[in-house]
Amino acid sequence: MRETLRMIIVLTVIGMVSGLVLSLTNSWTQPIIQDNLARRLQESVLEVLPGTKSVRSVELPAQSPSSDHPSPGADQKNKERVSMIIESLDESEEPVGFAFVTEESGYGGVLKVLVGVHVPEMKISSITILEHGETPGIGSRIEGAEFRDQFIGLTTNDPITLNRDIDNLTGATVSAKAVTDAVRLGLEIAVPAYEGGR
Amino acid sequence: MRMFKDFTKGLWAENPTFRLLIGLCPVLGVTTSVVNGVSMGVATTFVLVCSSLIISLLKKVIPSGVRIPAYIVLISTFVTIVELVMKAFMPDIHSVLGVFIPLIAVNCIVLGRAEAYASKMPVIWSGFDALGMGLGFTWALVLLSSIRELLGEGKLLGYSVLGDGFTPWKIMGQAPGAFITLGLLLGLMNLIPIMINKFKSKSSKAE
Repeated sequence: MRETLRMIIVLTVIGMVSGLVLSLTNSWTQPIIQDNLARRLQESVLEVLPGTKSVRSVELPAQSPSSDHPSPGADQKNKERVSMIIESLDESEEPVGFAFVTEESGYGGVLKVLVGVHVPEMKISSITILEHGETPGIGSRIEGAEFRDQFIGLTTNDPITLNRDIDNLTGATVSAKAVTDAVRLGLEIAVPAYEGGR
Repeated sequence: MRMFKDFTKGLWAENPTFRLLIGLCPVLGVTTSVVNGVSMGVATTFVLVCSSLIISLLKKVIPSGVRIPAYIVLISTFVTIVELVMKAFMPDIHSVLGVFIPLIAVNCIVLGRAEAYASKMPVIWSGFDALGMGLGFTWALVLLSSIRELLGEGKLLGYSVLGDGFTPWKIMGQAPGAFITLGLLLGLMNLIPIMINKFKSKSSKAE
């Protein structure tokens, strides 16, 4: 009985001290981690929308399902497709455009794309791949400027479809299609969301 | 002398990667570039040294019935500290190493040293033992990652060294490259003592 009590007390004390140490470490590092994330995001927005001086997050309305995908499964997917819309402002606080994060399943897991859109013409200024798990040297070519630059200047009126206005990447169709779909379907959600959110 | 022995055995005679063949998951997973290898090695060494010291200090306090859960709690505390600090101050390296940082908690080198050494030996010896093991693990990671980065990308530490004429062996950057390189290195590490012994017996015969 004494031995059991000792086990309980020792393990409890170790757990409590560990918890205390971790919560102190967390409160020390958390602000820095948040800063890092915010800075990285701002840098990415600057990359897709040159001329950005400050950013402002746009509230995401309940995302309406895309008319292309009437099935309930697709509705669910589209709801989570666009995770963030950020408005970018220049020196005089005038909007340069907005950027949004859109995702799609690639060949090696979820692929996140940041798309910059100029306003008021609603043309894509640039896209950048934030996160991907595609095969190095094959699918990872979606990160290359040659592939990404094909999206510049496209609008929701364009098909944004592989092999129509976007050239495929040999041997990496899944990856290329994932980016194309992410941009097209993301744009369909983000443009009305941005217009409605202002 | 004892401390020196404790320290050096991890580097060669009981090297966790090349001799004991434990903790190979990160060895295969993160060694695509030298920077990753070094960071992983340093992070693991930090966790090893801290947890060995604490466990050795507490060896009389922790009842043997709950020693494993107690060790795991202590080890994962240090791992979480490493993860948070890396996220805050080295976000780029953290995003590359990703899941392998929290997985240090289940690296059998760490629990192995706690169970086999730190829970029985004095604090200072345990510290040197952990430091030796950690550095042994680190140099193994550095060796493997140098080979893979050199052949897989033609670079070392991010600088191009093999020139433009070199076609990178893409396979070296992926899992099969890790297995092939590790296999060849293990063979080489076994060959070295054999060659030394042969050389020694030859020279003693000559005498």
